[in-house]
Order: sequence, then C-alpha cells, then structure tokens
Amino acid sequence: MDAQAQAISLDVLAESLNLGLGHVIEELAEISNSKIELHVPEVNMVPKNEALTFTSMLRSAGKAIFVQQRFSGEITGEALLFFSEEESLNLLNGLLSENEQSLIEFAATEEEMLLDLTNVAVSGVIYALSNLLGIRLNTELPRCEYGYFDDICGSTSLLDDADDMVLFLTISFTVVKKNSRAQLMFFQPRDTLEKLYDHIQKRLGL
Amino acid sequence: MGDLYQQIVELIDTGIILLDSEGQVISWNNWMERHSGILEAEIRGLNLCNYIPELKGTRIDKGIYKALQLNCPSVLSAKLLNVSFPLYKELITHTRRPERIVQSIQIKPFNLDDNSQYCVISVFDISSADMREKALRTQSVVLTQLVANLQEKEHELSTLFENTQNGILIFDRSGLIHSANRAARQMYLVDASASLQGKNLFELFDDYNGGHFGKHKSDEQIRALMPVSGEEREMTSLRSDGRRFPVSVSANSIPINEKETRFFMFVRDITEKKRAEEQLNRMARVDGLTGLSNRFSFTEILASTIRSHSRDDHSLSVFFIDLDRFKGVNDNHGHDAGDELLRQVAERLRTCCRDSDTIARWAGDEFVILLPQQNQSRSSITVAEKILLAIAEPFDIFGKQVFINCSIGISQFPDDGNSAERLIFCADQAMYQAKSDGKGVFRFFTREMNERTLARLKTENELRIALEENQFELYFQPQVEVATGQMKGVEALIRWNHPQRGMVYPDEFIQVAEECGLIGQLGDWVIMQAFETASRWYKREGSPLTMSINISPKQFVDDGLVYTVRRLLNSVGFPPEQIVLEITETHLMAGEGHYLRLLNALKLLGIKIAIDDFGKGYSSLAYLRKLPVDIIKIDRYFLQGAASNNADAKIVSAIIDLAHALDLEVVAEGIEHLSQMELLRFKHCDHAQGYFIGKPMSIEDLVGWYGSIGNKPLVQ
Repeated sequence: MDAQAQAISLDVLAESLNLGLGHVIEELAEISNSKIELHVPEVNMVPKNEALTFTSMLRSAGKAIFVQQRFSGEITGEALLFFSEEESLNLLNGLLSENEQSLIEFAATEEEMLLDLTNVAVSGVIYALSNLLGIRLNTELPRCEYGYFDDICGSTSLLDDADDMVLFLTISFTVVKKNSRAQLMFFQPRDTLEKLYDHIQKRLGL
Repeated sequence: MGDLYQQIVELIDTGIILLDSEGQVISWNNWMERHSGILEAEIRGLNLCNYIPELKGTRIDKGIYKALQLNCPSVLSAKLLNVSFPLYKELITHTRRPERIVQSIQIKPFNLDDNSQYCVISVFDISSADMREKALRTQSVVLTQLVANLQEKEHELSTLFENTQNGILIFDRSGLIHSANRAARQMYLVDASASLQGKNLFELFDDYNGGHFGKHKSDEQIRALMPVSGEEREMTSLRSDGRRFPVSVSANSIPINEKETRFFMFVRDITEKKRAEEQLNRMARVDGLTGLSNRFSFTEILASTIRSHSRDDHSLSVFFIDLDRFKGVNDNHGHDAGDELLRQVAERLRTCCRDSDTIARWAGDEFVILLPQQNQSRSSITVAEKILLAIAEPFDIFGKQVFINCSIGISQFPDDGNSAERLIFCADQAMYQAKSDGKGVFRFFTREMNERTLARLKTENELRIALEENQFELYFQPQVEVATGQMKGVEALIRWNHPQRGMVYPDEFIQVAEECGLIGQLGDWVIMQAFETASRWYKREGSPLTMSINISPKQFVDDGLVYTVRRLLNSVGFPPEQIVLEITETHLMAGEGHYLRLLNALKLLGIKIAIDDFGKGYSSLAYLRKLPVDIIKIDRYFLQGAASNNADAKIVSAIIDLAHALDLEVVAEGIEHLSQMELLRFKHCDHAQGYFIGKPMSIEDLVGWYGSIGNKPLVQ
C-alpha cells in the first residue's frame, strides 16, 4: 500500500471516527447532564513502543487502569485504553450528578462506571468503523484491570512486538459543568490494521 | 436441552430478559417476576418499554436500541443509570416500604443463524455490595479525614517541637536519644545541622553516667534521675566542643506500650540567667566603690571562718579600722576626693594583707579585716603596725597631698567572743578606745573595755528612760559684769536627777548621749528649757537675762539646730542678742568649713556665739577673726594660776587685750577667789563666772539668790 493511499485511508478513518464520536459525546452529555466539549481527535499510525511513550506519564502516576474491549467479525481487534487513577477519578467525577459524593479512590463502583464509559466510547468508534466499512462487527463487553503500569504492561501480550504499528487514537474531551478533562487512547494491533486499510480502500474504490 | 437452559435461567439469581428484534419480551425469568411483581405470562410478547413506560428514553431504552439496531453491547453502571427497572427487594417483614434494588445492567446483542437479532438483558442486584461499599466509603472518608487531622496535628506538633526555644530531647531507658529539636541541636552541637540522634544522654550531662541508664532499668529508676514532677533542676551540660554550660531541666515520661517507655527532657540554657545572678550576687556582696567585700559578705565569711576555726582549734583576729580626719577631706575637697581616698585606702589595705585575709568596707570611712589562722609567725600586731604606717603615708588625691591616720581596734577569736557580731562589736569598741587614746594607734579589746562598754550601754538605756520620764533639770550659774559686779546673765547647765545615783553631772553622760545619738533630743530639750526660763525671767524682771547654752558639736551635724533656735526665738519673743550659744574651741577647730556655715546661719538669727574653754586648743585669735564669734570664754585653767603665777596672769591679760582689739567680749570662767576677780577688773575683763560669784543652781534658787542680792553689785 502506497503512502498516499495510506494517508487518504487515515484521513477517512479519522473523519468517520470523528462522526462516530459525535454520538459518543451526545451520550456522555446525557449521562453527565452537562455539555461535553470534544477536542479534535488525533489519529496516528505509530509503532507500539512509540505509542507507549505517550503513556509514560502513567508510569509516574503510580496506579493505572487498563480497559480492554475486543471486537470481531470481518476485522478482529481490540481497543485498549489507559487511565491513571487520578485521571479516571477526575473523569468519573465529571460525569456524576451534583448531589453525588465525590469519588476519591478507584474501587468496584468506579470500575463499573469506567467500563460503562469505555463501552460508550469504544462502541461508538466500532459502530462508526462498521458504518464506514459497511461491515458487521461484534463487540464484546469491556474488561478492566487495575494495578501498577509496569506490572500490567509486563503481563500483557498485547504489548509484545514493540515495532508493530498500531492505530493510535487520542480523544480529549472536557465535561464543561465540572471542568474535568479526560483523554482516551485507543489502539489496535497491526494484523487487523492491514485488513482495516484494505476495507477502507475497497470502500473508497481505491 | 432447551428445558435445561430454561430451568437454569429460572434458577439463576440474576434478572434475565430476552428481547426479540422488535424489543418484545420473549423471556422474563423467575427472578424478574419475584422482584418486579410482573409475571412472564403478563409481559411476554409485549414491547418492554411500552409495558414499563418509565423506561422510555432512558439509557436502558437506548441500550436496547444499540443492541438490536447497531449490534453494540452496553454496560450500564448503577451510578450512571438515570432510571433502573422497577425492581424491589423481597422483605421478610412488611413493616416498611420495599426498597428499590440497586442495579447493574448489561445488554448484549446476539443473532442466530437466520440473522434474526436478539438481545439479552442481565440485571444484577448490587444492593448489598453497594451498601457495603457505601459503608466502606464512609469509613474511608472518616479515615481520610482522621489521617488528615492527624497529619495536621503532627505538623503542628512537629512545628512546635522544632521551633520552641527550649531544647527537647527524647530518649529511652538506655539513655539513647531518639530525637532532638533544633534548639537542642543548637545548644549542644557546634554544627547545628548535625544530629543528636544516636547519642547518649549521659554524654550531654555531667550529672549522668552510663551506669544511670540501661534497658534493664525500670521506668521508676529512670524517672528518679530527673525532675519529673513539674519542678526544674539545674544541671551542667556539655557541648560538643567540650564547653560546659548551666541548664535548667524538667522531664517526664511518655509510655509507648507496656514494655516500652520514652522520656522527654526540656532543657533551657541558663548561662545568661546565671551570669546575671552572679552579677547580682557580686553586687550584693561587694562594695561598689572600693571593690572590697561589703558588710553583709564580711559577716557571712567571718561566721563561716569561726565555724571552721572552732573545729580546727585555730584563732583569728578581726580589725575594725576607722579613718581619722576623713570628714575633713570630704568637707574640704569634696565627695569625689573622699571617694578616691577610700579607694586608695582600700588598695593600701590590700597590700598590707594576704590573699587569705578578708578586707571589707564596713560603712563610710570604716573598714574591717579578718585575719584567719593566726599564729606566732604572723601576729596581728605586725599587720596593724603595717596598716598604720601605710595609711599615714600621704595620699595623692587629684594632685593634692592628703594626710590622714587611722585608728584600729582588734578583737580575737576565741578570746573575745565566738560569733561574728560579737567579734565585730569588740573590735569596734577597741577602735573607739584607740580613737580616744589619741588616734593613729591600735588597741586590742580588753575586759575593761567590755565593762566600760557595758556601763555605757547601761547609761544609754537609762538616758532613754530619763528623757521619757523627764529626769533632767537645768541649773544656772550666774555671770556678772566685772566692772560693776552686777549679774548680766547665766550659763545653763544640765543635771540628771538619777533615781538611784542621785544628781549626775554632764561629764558622766553627755559623751554617751553623743555616741548613741540621743544628744540631738537632749540638746533640743536644753535649748527649749533655757529659752523658756529666759523668757519667764524677762517677763518677771522686766529686763532680759543673757542665757548661755552649751552646744555639743554633734548638734552641728545638720540644719536642725538652726531650725530649732529660729522656731524658739519666734515663739517665745525673746531678744535674740541675749542668747549665747557656746561651742568648745577644740570642736570649732575640728569642724572647719561645715561649722562655719552653720555658725553664720545662727548669727543671722541675731544670737551670739561664744568660744568655750578658750586657750585649751591651738587656735589663734587671728584665726578667730574669720569666725562669726562674739565672745570668748577663757579656760578656768589660766585663771587658777593667774593670781599667783605671773606667766598665767600675762596670758590672761594678753587674751583680754587681743580679744578687745578684735571687738570680742571676754568671759572668765572658774572664778573662785577675790584675787582672781580683782585681776580681771584690773585687766578690764568683761564678764566672769565661778563659785566665788555663784554656784550653778536651780531656777528657784537663782530667783532667791537674785532676790537676796537684788540688783546690787554682787561682787565688790
């Protein structure tokens, strides 16, 4: 696949993801009962290890939360989201209604909320993808893991083969009412990436 | 197999709802029936959100849509669920309203081979988990708050610990220091950034050693080492550079648990306080002018030396030294010169003594010396002679040579007494004896002195009583005009009608009265009585009587005499020129400047001043010109020999001539024979008195005597 085709594919992907995220934002606004400001998402194809450098801040933040959500169908892949504990609590507190007590530590309730939130975001993205590609994708429910960044990274095969290219999607949004900001990072392993491009190019008739 | 799954779905403790692509209920399990009260038979085949309208537009509704239409699953967390299924807890009792179940919901799409879309909704009851979590969260909040409070408290305490001015040391039973605040580090360490942690308490305090501490020691043993009941104890501390400094310490224990106790010690550096105390103490013990010990300190040292000498069978001497003619230096050269002289005297006394001797300034120009451990090789006589010689040497006071002497009284322990007060008293008495023996000498205290002293003390007491009980009486000796023989006046003479001893003459008590300070009172009484008598006489006889009153030099100490005379003159209305105050020549010469001022003040009142006992001293008539004197009284000594001794007669003649040349009146005393009277008349003496003319007599006798003689010339 030539570079130009790849660049076009990436633009198309970003655009369709952007559209899909519009629905996600709507849903989050409804949940939080607050306006949500979406920052223009960044879509990059980067080697895994480079993607991981984005997560370096998580290393210094101590405890981290990983949320994994698989999808299958004509393309199989998984989304992996990283949050620092502080960031996740900040995000969740932003979504809580005014009369709820603030969350100060990550526990079962927070985990369930984060799964809910991740599912909204990932489902939105997957839906946007399947719409773009005109294919049917089955999404599984997300799973969550909580612990020290290095421990989790060390035990996840997903992060093997550091040179593999991944789709790295950064979604930043602000819950206006609470002025809390969050960043979701999404990546997808290389093997499915090729298929993804194929589908995009077929769809675009390239 | 289908039945089996159906049974499992019915048995499972979770709500299971199966919807078809239209959202119509295919399955509604037993759990849902129990908690919603809606039977499967009722709801099957109906659209779920239509049957339960409160779900419309909710996240559940949207989740169903996403599953059936978009093939997307949903996880609806209880916290973010705006509306849940109307499910309630099954209560054992019916006493309260059933509570809505806290729900966590999953909606999963699935399709079968025929592409027909379904979704399954799982409803989990997380009420109890939620309750537990809420409780845990509440606990967590409380704990977080508690930790925050503790941290705040700890911060406050550690700030206090670090910033307090007192040093704080925390240590265990073995004396090992666990922590020390900044003040303690600054106090004990040359490098205050170093640590005291790990050092032992006994390294910092002279009062402790390693044996005082140890793990095997009980708390009580450790507490017994230090002031733990709120009081403070002074101790000596040791700095890391080896310097010792005084501290004030208070301490207490902090029980950690049954086995372990910590102790803390507040340490205050009291170097400055001690220095101030020392200075105060020094000031309280040292005479500021001379740097010698003061009276208080000397008495204390003497008392302690007496105690140690009593044990060791040693003897000691006490010197009481009074400077002769010091007052003259003060009067003539000023107080600064007097002070300088005292400083130089102190210095000379130091050179005459050993370091082991104690020299002190007792008062004014009085010094005392303690010579401890007297023995044959160093007698107090040697020291006394050395002092007399040293003081007799001229002093250079601000460029002027000043000559003084001193009189020394010496008492000895154990012979003269065994208390500090007694020995000082005896030395003082001996000093008086030295003074009366001619000054510039030393005298040892003797038994006779003691007896004299006792007698004097007795007289002193009796004088006080006599003043209170009015035992005194004035006698009057007539004075006549030599030329006419007519009485012109009297000399008032005091007598004491002692209840046991009968009539006592002034030479037996005036000196005691002067020494014990009663002379002022007695002198005032004499002046008052004399004025009253003169005033009565004047009223009765119509002509004034010259009243001569003897004045003690001790009455010349201040303006009191001038005040008394002025007051009496004003109150009795007597002509002041008829009052003659007599002062002895010797005293007048000794008094110098001070007397001159007072005499002038008296002269201004209009009274006359007479020099008594003239000829006894060494004053010249030329000197008398400078003094405000009106009359001189020739001493009786010259008159006694004048009639028979040509030389005395010439002296008397010369005195009269010269006095007249100076416009002074002359009174001759002690006239006992006619021949003396004739000589005086021949020499043109102004007035005379004596037994030949009339003895001293009471006022009643004087009135009788005057009446019988009348205004006739008394002596012809």
